[in-house]
Amino acid sequence: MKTTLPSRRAAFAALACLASATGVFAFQKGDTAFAKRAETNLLAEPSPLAASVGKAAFAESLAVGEVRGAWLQVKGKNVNGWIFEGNVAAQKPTLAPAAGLTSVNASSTNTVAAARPLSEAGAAYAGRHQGGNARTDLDWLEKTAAKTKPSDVDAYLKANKKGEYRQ
Amino acid sequence: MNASRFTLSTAVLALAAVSLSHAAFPNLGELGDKFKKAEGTATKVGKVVKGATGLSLEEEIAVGDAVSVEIVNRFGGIWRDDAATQRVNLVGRALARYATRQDLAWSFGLLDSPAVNAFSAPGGRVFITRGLYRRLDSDDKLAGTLGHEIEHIDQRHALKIIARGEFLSGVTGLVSERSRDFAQFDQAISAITTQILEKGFDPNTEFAADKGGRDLAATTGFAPGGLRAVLALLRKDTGGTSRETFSTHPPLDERLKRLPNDPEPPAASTVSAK
Repeated sequence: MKTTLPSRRAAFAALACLASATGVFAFQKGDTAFAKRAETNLLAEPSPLAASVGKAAFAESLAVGEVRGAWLQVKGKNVNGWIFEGNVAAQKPTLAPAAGLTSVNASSTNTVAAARPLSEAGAAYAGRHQGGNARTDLDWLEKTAAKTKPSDVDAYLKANKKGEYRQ
Repeated sequence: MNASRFTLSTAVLALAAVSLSHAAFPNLGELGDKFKKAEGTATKVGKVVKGATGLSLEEEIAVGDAVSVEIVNRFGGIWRDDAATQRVNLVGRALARYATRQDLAWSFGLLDSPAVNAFSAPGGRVFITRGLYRRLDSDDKLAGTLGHEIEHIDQRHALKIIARGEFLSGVTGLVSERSRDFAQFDQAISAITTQILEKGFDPNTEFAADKGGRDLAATTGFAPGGLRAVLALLRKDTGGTSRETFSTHPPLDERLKRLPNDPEPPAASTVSAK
């Protein structure tokens, strides 16, 4: 009995979390969603491993035809397909991802991992405001942050069944 | 209003008028189609160059870098713990993968301060103090905390201070090198850092970041109750009255009241490998 209670509690908590998480899905049939990456693959089925049937361009409006869990069946400009809800925005995004910031992978793209030095204006500000140590610290931070590659993020999501890999 | 903004506004008004006339006179279809094409092009050009607050990405990053310098200066520098920094970046970048703004290079850092607080700088840099980080014993709680800060950036809360103030030309002039007026740029940074580090955003802005952060965490697959659990833990620890705990945020009770009553995530339900 003692051994089963915690697992029952854990299972109940997990179910409660899932039930609550379903309340997060904002999109409904008839809504318009907007692609928020430079390019996003639309998939043949609601699964991250499904074949691509076409691409949605940045800020392309997508008519939601069906909602299945966290996946949306959408009609784009040229093609119909499935897309994970996390890959679209409810409001039209305004600034396009810079070239090279994202790449196409399954239905999603990856956040950039390269270390970015302080901008010229930021570095000059540090110089004017006794921010020499802060500048060195921020350089260290950017280099350390860059060690977390998009492939690490993808592996983490897969291993923990998160993002489009959640079931 | 500078010349390019005026031109863009005029173009938008003109195109809006064309759109209306196209609807009223369907026989003008061919002419309307041409304008529609031009409208799309104008929209693309305008929106790629400037974001919703009138700042380009380059300008936002410049502001964010200067704000980051201030945050690091005031909170004991960066806590150089390699494993902890990689953990916050793993969880933070998992969240950022589904953030609205994919134009940013997100990074997540730890401040060497015992205070319990978290901050975000425009351009995609998020900070958590060591004092707060040490209380986040699961990725669900870490994700709830980072999600809140990501939302401040996603919704451009700090940039709106510049957009509605008199600092816009100071920022755009310096970054585009049309001007070397450091004083105006520094005033803009001072306005933002005063808001972020001293006064805090207004309560409604914070509640919006709470809601958005909770939703982002849930979309990414973290327990939606992560942020709530962190706030409840801090309220229990401090009675919700400590000036050191989220001192720049609304009272913990108010924030908890506005969040959905999500169950507390199981302890250490997900802990990143790193």
